[in-house]
Amino acid sequence: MENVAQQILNGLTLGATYALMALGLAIVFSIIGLVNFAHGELITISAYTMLAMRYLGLPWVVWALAGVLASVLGALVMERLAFRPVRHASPVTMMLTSFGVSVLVAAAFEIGISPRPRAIPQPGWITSSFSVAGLQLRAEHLLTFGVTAVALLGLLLLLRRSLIGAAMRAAAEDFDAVRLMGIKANAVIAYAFAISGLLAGLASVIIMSRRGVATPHMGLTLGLNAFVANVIGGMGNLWGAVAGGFILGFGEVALRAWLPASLSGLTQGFLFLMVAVFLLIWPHGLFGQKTAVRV
Amino acid sequence: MTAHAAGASRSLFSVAGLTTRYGAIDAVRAVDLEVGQGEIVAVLGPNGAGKSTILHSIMGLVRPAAGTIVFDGRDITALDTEGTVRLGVGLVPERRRLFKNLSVRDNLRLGAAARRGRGDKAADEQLLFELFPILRERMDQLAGFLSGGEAQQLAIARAIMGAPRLLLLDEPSLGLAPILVEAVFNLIQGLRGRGYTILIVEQNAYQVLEFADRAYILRNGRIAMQGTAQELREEDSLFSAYLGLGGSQPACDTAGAPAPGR
Amino acid sequence: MNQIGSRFRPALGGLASWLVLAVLALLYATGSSSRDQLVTVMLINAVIVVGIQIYTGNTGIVSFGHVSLAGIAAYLSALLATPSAVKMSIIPHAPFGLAHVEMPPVLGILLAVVITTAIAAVLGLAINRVSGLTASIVTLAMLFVVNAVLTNWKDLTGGAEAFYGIPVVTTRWWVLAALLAAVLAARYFWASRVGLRARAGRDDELAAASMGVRVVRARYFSWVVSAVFAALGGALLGHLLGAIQPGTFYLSLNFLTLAMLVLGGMNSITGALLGTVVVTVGSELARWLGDGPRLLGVDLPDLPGLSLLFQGAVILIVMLLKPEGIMGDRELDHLWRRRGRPVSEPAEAPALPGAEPAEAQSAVAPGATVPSAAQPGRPLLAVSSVSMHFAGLRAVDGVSLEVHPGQIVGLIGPNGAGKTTLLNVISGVYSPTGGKVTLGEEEISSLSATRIAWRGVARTFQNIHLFSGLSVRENIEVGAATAAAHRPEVHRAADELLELSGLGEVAERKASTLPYGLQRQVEMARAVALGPQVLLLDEPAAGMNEAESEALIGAIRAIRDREGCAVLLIDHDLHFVLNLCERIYVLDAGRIIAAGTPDEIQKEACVIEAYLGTKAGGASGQVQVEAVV
Repeated sequence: MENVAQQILNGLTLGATYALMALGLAIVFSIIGLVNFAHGELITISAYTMLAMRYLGLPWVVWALAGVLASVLGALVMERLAFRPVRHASPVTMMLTSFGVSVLVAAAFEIGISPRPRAIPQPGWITSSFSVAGLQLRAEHLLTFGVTAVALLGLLLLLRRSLIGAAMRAAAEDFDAVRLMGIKANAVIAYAFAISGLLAGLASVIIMSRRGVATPHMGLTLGLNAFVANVIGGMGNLWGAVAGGFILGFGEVALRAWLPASLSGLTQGFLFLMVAVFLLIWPHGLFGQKTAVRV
Repeated sequence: MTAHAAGASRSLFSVAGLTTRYGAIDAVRAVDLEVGQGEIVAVLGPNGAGKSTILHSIMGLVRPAAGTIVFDGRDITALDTEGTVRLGVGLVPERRRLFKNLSVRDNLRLGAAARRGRGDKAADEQLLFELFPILRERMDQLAGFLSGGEAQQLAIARAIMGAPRLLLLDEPSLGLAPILVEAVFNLIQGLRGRGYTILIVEQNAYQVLEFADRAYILRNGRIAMQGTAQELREEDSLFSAYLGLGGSQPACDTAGAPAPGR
Repeated sequence: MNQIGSRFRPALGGLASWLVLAVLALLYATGSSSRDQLVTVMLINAVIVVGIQIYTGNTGIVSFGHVSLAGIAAYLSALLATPSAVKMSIIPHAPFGLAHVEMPPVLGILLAVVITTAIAAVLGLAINRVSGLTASIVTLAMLFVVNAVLTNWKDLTGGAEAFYGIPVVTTRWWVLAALLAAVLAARYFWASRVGLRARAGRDDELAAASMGVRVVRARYFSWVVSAVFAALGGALLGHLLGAIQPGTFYLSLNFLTLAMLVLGGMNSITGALLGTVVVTVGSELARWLGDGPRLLGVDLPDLPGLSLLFQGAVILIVMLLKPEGIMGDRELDHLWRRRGRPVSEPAEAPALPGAEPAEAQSAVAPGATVPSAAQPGRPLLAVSSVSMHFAGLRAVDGVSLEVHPGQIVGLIGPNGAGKTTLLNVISGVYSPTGGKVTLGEEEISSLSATRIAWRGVARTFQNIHLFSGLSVRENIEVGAATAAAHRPEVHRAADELLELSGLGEVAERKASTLPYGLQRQVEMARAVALGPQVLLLDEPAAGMNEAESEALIGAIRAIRDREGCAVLLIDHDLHFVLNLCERIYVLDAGRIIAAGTPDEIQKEACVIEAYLGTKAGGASGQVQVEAVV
């Protein structure tokens, strides 16, 4: 029983990370139809920024803030330099553009820093653990829950309450109609990218607190889970992406707990295989709609 | 019939020599339009005549191939959609294009984003609830759940919230039952007394001619006929001009022409 | 024209692109052994890239998964052909007794290709269910999963460590032969019926379905065929390098092959080869620079990752400047063909075929409306009480109509009346919420659009849905291929159809480059190629001036007379409909409000009302009725 509770806790933590990343991807996709392969690179950018802050000997809070800020700026720069010129191109062109950005960013870190993994030792309190009602809680868990809860709630409020939030929801439905309200298309898109950067930056802080190592190519691997979460939830559906993230997180924890040790390396393999079977039955995901045919 | 400049009223808006292409097809060819301050002007014609294309060209949703569009003395031909809206040109688009997953309130709020401090927002809200009492009850409902008539009211209300100095309406009667069509047209007439300038595009000719000041009849992308609403109402060949039954087709003419007005 | 010849011609054309590359490779590779190796690796990469091209080029889906198929094949062949002495030290606990298997490498390679293709065939069932970007994501997931399996199934693969001792047997001649096979297969597949269908689905899934194409199936075949060459390339690479790791077939090879494909142009096989060469050269240069060479007396710093940077930059720059790549959708042999036999530019809008002046004249002569042919017996197409509701909107509300064999029927009504929705229900794009549609004896309302097309219901679209990347001839061939497969008795060859439709002049032009009027004609010719029993036309006269739409009247009649088909058409041009159709239905707000001959319809007050609205003052259409009667 305790074990199950512990696993649920782990599933929640992992799912929360995936959900944050998947949500950022979904916001951008819902508005301009871009599957941003460079989304994971925002996490890389953020991680290396934290590394730099650590070298400067600054306190953890500063790293975290700088990491998030770097991710936001990274997203805005990508949008301005790479994605705006192809905004009206085909979805495949947009996707490949983001793929090129992803490769470029990873290569830049290989060249600029090192192809080898770099440790970002976390402060001791992050790994400190204490037990509550028989559950092993670590500060990292609390950090994850806190950050995710605040981020999701904040995003919900922004989308529901603010004008730009309403504009983003509206843009997901009908972009030209939003422009007809006199709201600048570029502003809406920039906000969407900034939010996706913010969420990726927060995810990066959480991920780094757990793994403490940055590599140039970590982005694509991490980003993949976000893509798959979106596929599960239905491409571009925000709350579907969150649900997909949690499903992936729980699935991974459950598989890891139940698979024999010799197969533990295949956890993700089994997980994605299950997603493939799921797609056979629901090719449009949980909340995805079959794209309406407009004849 | 000759073109009538808008009498005493000052010209607020004009289009000259507008030609717009979609790919290889000329959707609109050399169209001239003029709308005076406070006027209600209609562009009438069957579907496919290019009516919506004119509005899209005005709004910067498509780039015209030739011609100039002037609003309040300023050339807005090359201005983007957002800029045009911010200057005070509001469009109620064809098929309404409400944000269906947003509440009525949010739809109106987005509409108000266009006003840029123009006019008295509180007064406009007041007017809105006067004109569209049903919307007040529906404020927190999703726009997607409104009935056709309510949805059209919201579409007009959303545009009004942007305090437009020129209101463009694209087929507001489309897809509405006859009784609702009448209600929507009554609403539009209701705006006249309040200083709105309106350019309305419609297929539904006779009812619009009842309240418009002037009208242009568009066919195959060209203006086939124009005049005051009074003149056009009494024009025998309206139906033929409208549906292209005139000219080479005398056999159809007699069947097509409506009797003169009562 | 003989079928085989016409399909092999492009494959022979592919020989040209191959020859150029082969000669270049042989010339360059007669130097040092490191050069030799580099060229051979490049040629193997070319095999893999052409393999990816077969899938991506024909389906439009970018695949990240082919690299992992190459990996699976390389490991399989290594497992089968490596001496068991070596295997006993790397993978002593290999399952299925694989540690003791020792095959001749050629057999190992062949078997590896077969098994890998079989694995791909299974995976493809899931991957090709989804389309577009989602499919790309799924292939990326596949890349990760295969890598995880190769890394973690230590008993089988030896894990992340190198699998060494693979017999080094791959020679440049083998690779050239494999590449030749890949290029010929790619060109042959491209021109084959399945390839054509896949490309039709790539350009427009909806139109493809309406032309009887099973898009998912065509995609699936492309996937399986492309897997063969990805696998072949992988196996050859293993037997060239002698030692492989899971990482050999992971991200870096994926970036590399993708840059090659994208640079040359995803839709061109020549492009795949060209991209391979350019990216290989560029990457090698970058690698040399990155190793910190001494240049002009200056020691450059070590810059690992420079070749990766180059590949990323290639992808990004191509996407920003020329997304279709260097070759676009051209092949090497097109270059000389074009020069040899220039395609003359057609006039903006040539006279419509089948519309001899006399016929057009009679069509518009007053009172010359063809009287309805006597309509005995059963209708060919019957729509009975069909409704189509969308979330609260009753787009079509209990409509019944009949179309008799050989009859031309018009459907008119104001904007938003539900005309196109009704056409979509008949052609199977939507399945109706209520009522049924029957064709002859058979109820078709429960069938998919594809199957309805197989039964000879062809259609055009209001806003032209051509297969934009296909030539005019290919557009028509899509329809002809469906007819040949499902209604052989009405099948006509593409050449005959081109001639009948007067499109012979522009047969080799890409559909998207044609002027509007011609695009409309191509769309109609494509529908006719299906050998239709019923031809559904959605606003065929849209955008036409009066002379053109009069010519169209003759053209549609000519088609009806020649094909013996019935026609159901929508148009907003009353003049056109009244002159062409023998029977007219008027739709308003989703219901039929009038039906009859053109003469009857012209007298109907409600028609005028539907178009122009009620004249105010009269509460109903009363005033109108008086006015008209």
